[in-house]
Amino acid sequence: MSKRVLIAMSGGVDSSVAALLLVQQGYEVDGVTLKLWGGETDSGCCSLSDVEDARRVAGELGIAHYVFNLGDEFTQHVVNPYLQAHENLLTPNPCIECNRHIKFAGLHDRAMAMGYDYVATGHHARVEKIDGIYRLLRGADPAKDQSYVLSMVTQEVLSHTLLPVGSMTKAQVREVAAENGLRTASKAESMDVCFIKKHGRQEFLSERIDLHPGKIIDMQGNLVGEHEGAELLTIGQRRGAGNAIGSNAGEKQYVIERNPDDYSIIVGTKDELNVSQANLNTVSFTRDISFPCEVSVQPRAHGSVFEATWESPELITFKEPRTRIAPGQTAACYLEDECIGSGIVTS
Amino acid sequence: MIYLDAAVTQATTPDVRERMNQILSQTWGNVSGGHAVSREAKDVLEKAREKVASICDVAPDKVVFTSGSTEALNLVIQGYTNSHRDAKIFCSLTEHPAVYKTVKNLEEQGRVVVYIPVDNQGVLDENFFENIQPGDLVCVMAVNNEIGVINDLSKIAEVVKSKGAKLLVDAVQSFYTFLPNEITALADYIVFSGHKLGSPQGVGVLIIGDRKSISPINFGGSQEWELRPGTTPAFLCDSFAYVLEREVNSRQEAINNVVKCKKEFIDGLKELVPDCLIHAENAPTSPHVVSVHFEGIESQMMLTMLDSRGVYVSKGSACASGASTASRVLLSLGLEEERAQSTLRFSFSRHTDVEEVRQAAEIVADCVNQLTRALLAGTMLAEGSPDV
Repeated sequence: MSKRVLIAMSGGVDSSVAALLLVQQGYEVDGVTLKLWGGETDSGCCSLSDVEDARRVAGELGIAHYVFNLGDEFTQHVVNPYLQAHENLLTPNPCIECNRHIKFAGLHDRAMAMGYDYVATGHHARVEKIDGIYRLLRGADPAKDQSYVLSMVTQEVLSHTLLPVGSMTKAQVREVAAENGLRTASKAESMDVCFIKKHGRQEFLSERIDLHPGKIIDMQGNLVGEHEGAELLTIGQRRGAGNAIGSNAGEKQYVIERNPDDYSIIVGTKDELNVSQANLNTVSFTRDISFPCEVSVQPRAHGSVFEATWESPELITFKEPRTRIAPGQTAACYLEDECIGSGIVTS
Repeated sequence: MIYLDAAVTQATTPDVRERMNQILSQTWGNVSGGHAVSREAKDVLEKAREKVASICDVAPDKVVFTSGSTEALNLVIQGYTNSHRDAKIFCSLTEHPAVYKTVKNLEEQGRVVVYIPVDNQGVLDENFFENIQPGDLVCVMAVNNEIGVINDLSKIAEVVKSKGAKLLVDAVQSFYTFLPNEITALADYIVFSGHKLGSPQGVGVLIIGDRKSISPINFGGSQEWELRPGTTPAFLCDSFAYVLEREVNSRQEAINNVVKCKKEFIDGLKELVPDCLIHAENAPTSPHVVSVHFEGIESQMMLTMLDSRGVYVSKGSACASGASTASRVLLSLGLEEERAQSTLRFSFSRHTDVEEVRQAAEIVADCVNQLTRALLAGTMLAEGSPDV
């Protein structure tokens, strides 16, 4: 009897092709679209047209399609913590929390309870079983690799996860979609936080939390300006437009620290931004590892990595001093192409 | 396949399809034309109208064909309030969205709406009828589509009439409870849907006491007494009249079957899932609908599992995106959201096989047990799960 797979279909091209590939590989496939967000502040994601696109692709593939409303869980585990993190002057990554709580907990647990063997998604990453261990590997398309946002999945979850497009480039995915006449073949992709309109972060936050203006102070304690809201800034940020952040030394200035007591921010030079370690919490591992462990650290969804030692679950020391990682961001650790775990930076 | 979703729609039978085919191939004309081809089609339409009128005990000019019950309900509610600007609209909280959302929309436009609450069994709070004034419009369904509760139409009609107001009855799910002419005798506007009885989708009927009391909401041709412009599809109207007559003539047989199915299903479920709860169990309900709560079990998961095992049921009324939130009808009974989210509706027709109903109860129980085991094993982190 063929294995049963529940594939999360967003209505985008990646999950559409993922579903197609699973059907071609002989799995018994059902599609599900998660209704996570909508209503008054509908950013366009989870919209009726996305659901219809997913449903139509499922229809084209001859598979069942369901809509699961996990809106309350999304609000509780993703949107509210996102707001709270900003209130606490952190820089959260809501995609990671969505994967942690919704796609690879809420959906995964439901799928297992309903008797499915696997949950599949259209993420650009790979799962391979090597030496009896399920490894989370980078996607074949370096520009699209999404292993970072999956860095918090566990071995148990990985053993029930299929990522069918992870070994393809985005161009190949679109090609397969077009060849098979899928409705979503040329659909534009969303890159921003799904529940916030494009360029709408400030508006989204200001409607939901209090923004606190405050002073901008340089490393020497000089008042160099004022800002509109500490919640809107992030560590390492250099604001070119608007209120320029201190330029007393004629050097470019960066946000180094946000002070929750009076909402002042401290700015400094690039060198002053550098640190040599990061402390973590909410640490998770894709498999067993032993400490200390020499790793490459990726501090954001896309971009370069740097070398470091994962000393203990809650401490990473850098080989060279480098730009500090904004508290709230996730640091994902890699052994070459394999993501072995991650944690949320606290300081 | 075991189809326990008759309240959503029913299959057409071969005789219905054969009849439509015949009309489409022989009398396909536009009923509004001025020549023989049109006259033949018009003849089909008018015979259908006369048949419906006869069954409903009204004159043929009280029968308005529409594209379905949603259109007919909109026509009455919007058409009445357009020509009675000061009328208040009374609407029960358990109305179908075709009524509820139409009324909501009018409320947003400034009309005065009074929502009639229900008790925990879904029975209307009659105290609210006290405030009805002459000329108001009262919208009440005969039988609730989600929980099957039967409204006391005689009593409601008496009050509404005594107040000099108008009564609209959504009679879409009424067939196993009221004969059509029992309702038309009581109300000013009565709406029926064809496909719930076995015609194809796309045809409904409004029985209207006084055509002048509403104004059209769409404009175009003068079809259906200028109340519903657009080419009237004679083959669908004929089909409506045909199934209505067929169903009325063999109604007792159909009732016997749904009564047996419902009893069999509830007995089976209660034996296999002792802690399941039947909504509105103490209220008078139609024999073709049963709404069941399974504690801690999300209805979407049940629906998914049942679908894969060939048992077709419903969470409540179908929703365009498929992402239903907790049912407004169930919440209006005072149920907590969790309970509303873990409810399935099963519905039966004359075509439902009682043997299959027994099997379905076993499959439902099996799915409930599988999900309960998963909950107990702690693999489920779902919100609203019971403490285990």
